Amino acid sequence: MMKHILKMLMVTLVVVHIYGCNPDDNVMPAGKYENGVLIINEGNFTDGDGSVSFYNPDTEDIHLKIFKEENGRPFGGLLQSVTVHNGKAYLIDNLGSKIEVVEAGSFKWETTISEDLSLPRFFAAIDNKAYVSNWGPYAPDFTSPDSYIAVIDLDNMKVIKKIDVNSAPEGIIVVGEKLFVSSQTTSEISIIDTGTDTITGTIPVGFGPTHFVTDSQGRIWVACTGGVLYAINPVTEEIAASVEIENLTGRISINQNTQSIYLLTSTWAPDYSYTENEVVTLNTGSPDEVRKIFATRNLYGLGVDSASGVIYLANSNAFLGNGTIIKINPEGTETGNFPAGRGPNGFVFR
Amino acid sequence: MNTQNTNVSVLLALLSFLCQVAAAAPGFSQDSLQTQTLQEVVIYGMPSREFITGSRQQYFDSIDVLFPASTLSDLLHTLTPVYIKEYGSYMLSTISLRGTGAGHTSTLWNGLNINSSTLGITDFSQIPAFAGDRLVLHYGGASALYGSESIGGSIIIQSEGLWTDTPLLTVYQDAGSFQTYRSRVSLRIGNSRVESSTRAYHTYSKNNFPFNNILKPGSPVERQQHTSVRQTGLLQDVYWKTGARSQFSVNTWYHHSNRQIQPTMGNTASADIQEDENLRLAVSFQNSGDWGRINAKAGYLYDFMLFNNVFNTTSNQWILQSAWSRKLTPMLKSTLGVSWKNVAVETNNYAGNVAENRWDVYLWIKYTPFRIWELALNIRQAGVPGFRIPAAPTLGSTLDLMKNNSHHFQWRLMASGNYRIPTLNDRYWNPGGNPDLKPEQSWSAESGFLWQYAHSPETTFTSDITWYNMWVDNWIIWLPQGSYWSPQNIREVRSSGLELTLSGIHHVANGTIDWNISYAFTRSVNKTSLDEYDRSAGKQLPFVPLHNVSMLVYYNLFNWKFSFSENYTGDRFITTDNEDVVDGYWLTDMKISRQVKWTKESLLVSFEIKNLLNKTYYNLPLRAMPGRNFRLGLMYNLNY
Repeated sequence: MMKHILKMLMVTLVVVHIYGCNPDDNVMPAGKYENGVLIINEGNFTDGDGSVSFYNPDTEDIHLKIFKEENGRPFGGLLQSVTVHNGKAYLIDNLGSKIEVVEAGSFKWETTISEDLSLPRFFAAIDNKAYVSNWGPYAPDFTSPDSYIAVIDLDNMKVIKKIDVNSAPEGIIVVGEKLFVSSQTTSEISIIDTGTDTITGTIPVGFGPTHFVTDSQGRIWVACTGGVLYAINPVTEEIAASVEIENLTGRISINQNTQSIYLLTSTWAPDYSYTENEVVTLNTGSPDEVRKIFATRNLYGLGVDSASGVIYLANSNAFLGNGTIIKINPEGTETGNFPAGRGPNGFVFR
Repeated sequence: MNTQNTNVSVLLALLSFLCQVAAAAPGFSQDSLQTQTLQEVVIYGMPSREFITGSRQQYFDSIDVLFPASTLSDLLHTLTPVYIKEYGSYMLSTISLRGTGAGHTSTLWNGLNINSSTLGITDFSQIPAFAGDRLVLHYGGASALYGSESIGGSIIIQSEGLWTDTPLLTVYQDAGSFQTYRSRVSLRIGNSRVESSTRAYHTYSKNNFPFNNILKPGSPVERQQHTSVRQTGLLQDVYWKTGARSQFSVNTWYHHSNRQIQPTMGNTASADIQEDENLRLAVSFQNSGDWGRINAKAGYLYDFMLFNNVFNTTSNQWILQSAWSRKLTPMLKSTLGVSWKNVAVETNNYAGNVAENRWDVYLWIKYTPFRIWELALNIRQAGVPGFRIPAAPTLGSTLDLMKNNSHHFQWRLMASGNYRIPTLNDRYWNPGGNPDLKPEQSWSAESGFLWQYAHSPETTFTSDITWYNMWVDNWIIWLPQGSYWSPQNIREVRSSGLELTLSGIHHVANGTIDWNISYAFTRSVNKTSLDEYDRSAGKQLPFVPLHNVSMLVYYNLFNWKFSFSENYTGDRFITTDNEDVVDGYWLTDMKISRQVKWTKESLLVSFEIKNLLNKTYYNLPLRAMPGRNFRLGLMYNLNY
């Protein structure tokens, strides 16, 4: 039981990564899951029931557990993240320290990468090289002293290098020739040169940098759990803007058409009996104008579909039940909801 | 005799037994598996026994033959339709009685509630089936009798003196699949005035059973890693009749366990290990006279847990109990009792050390207006600083509709109000512990009908059917609150169900057949929604099977004993919305034993097959369980 509680705690430290800005999503064969929304259902730690759901916004059809449906076996782990790159989807299992690689359109299994990964989290790639943040083996007290970035050669699906980084690396993004890595337990972002795969510098930010998005000007935005949103110029490696927003969870998404950023916050109810989550938004052109557009309980992830402008919110139902996906429009009006899998934490829009 | 000398000699006897490796409990193997409603028996040290009127009880015999070195988890799974949630083979095993949670069953060892003060549960993989001489499963709420946590039911483990001049020695050893070795030595020695009972046990299992890894393409067979377990313990009881109507007893129990925690399938990162150490001590005194009967008890419970060599928890509980029972009129008996407990916990899981005093006062009244009709009204009020704990009453009735040499029809009625004090983890866990929690509260009503039929003294049939309805409110659930989890009194549950037991004894071809079929239908429904998107209201609670069946046939022919058990655990929902299910399963076990007897000695050779049909099954998702496995056992009995 104690283990259960401790690990539940670990699970809740996990936050959402949004992949709407992945630049390498280009030509791929038509497939069942080609056009729509992939929902990343993290799963509950003790049950290892991570899964992927597929939602077709046109027909409003939802397909649960598509990995199991296509491959005849459950994903069976903690599905930390899903990233689509060059026609393949990379499903990262944090619990089993492995990456299931599937053909992105059909979700048919192709291979499993399991060597040299340890509590992997998030994935970013440039051409045939991928970077995966790894917390490294837990110390007995569940801290992560041996964290690293695994460099994967996507031609032979093998880890070719480990780059030591700060404890508990989370968000990871490639911009130009640079890889940016956040560390939730620190107040800095590490920069790795993708040519040499070595750390070339750090950028000091507020406490708890978590996830990244990029805007149309090429700036990187990072949400820090200490309550500040930063814009970073990736060329000069300097902070271009910062906005204080209380109770940030680190979850962030951007509509590339409207340049609106959406963030998730978490606050206590007045009687401390539950936490309330709010969706706040700002435009990258006027970051100081922060608006709250929606509030409910048990939100665990969010993502915006740039094409339709629909914001998808993931309600975890406290991990006790399966999650619910809530759709809202940019004004914050709910336009529908539907059931997903256990602990939905984010979305991939295709 | 000089009292002081006697004291010294008893002390010496106690010490000498503590120093022995050997130990004891052969008695009570009556070769009978009958579930019975207990008749009124005064059991020393168990003052509550007379006041259980109206409730359903199940007690267990033949423990030595069927479960010579097993855990209570195995026994309950095999002999009852109660759901035991096992986190793997030899791993954490919790109970769900009448649709309630793991913390809603109290476990009393010699009158002391041994549920962990920090977790509020008992791990039945750590309790040997032979931890007492008498084992009773009390179904349903009885906080008035047993205190906090007695909502779904109670498990009562009681040690007793046999008062025989004949020394009894039992030595048991077995070897089983996956490098599993279990040993037990029991020694009981004494006379009609003083008695010592010693039991020592040791279990080791590498537990590296093969399983199909369903997460890999083609489900390859792999060996389970990181599941080895070791348990060692010593129980020492001393009984002393200090006078014609007085008795003194000391019960001690030391238990130590080391285990690797079985990870879920596919979890390659887990290297969790856990060490547990428990010391339990109960010193009891009973004296009766014209003025009634006094039971006094002093208890000490030490629980130590070390997780991953880092997270440690030490709990010390000191307990004083006293009860005065008196027959007021021939029809009216009462007991007035008070108990005090000091709980002190040191752990790096809390912000600081925690200590508190708890008081209970209770009054039990039994009224027998007619020989065939008994009524009991019991009430308990607990006091814990910072809590308003509701009074816990029970009102029970037992009416014999017919009782003669061949038939016994009995009708039971019972209503109770029960409570559970939030655990120390619920209140003090750092971060997330919620000091503002309220006690959980329940109300329940039940009615049962018993029919016992004796065709002849050797051929009997018993049936018992019980229906119940229970409400639990302020049920505590841990919910994610940003970066950590915190418990809240959020859930309201209504549980209702049916329990059916049929059993019989028959003489067949020079042997006897004992059989028992138990079935439980449990509908336990969550009434609360977390928010407007939650789909769990009106749904069955997770990990509460609707249907559970246990069946056992036991055939005794000359010196052969053959047992066959079949258990069904129904589908269990993983999620509160009932959208994901762990499939139900049937499990078959078989055991054959041959006894060789000499004048004063006997040897019992047994061969056991567990999971005879080699079923792949899951108690919890992705936690592999062993397939078909074997065990060869040898039990030596010396009866001087």
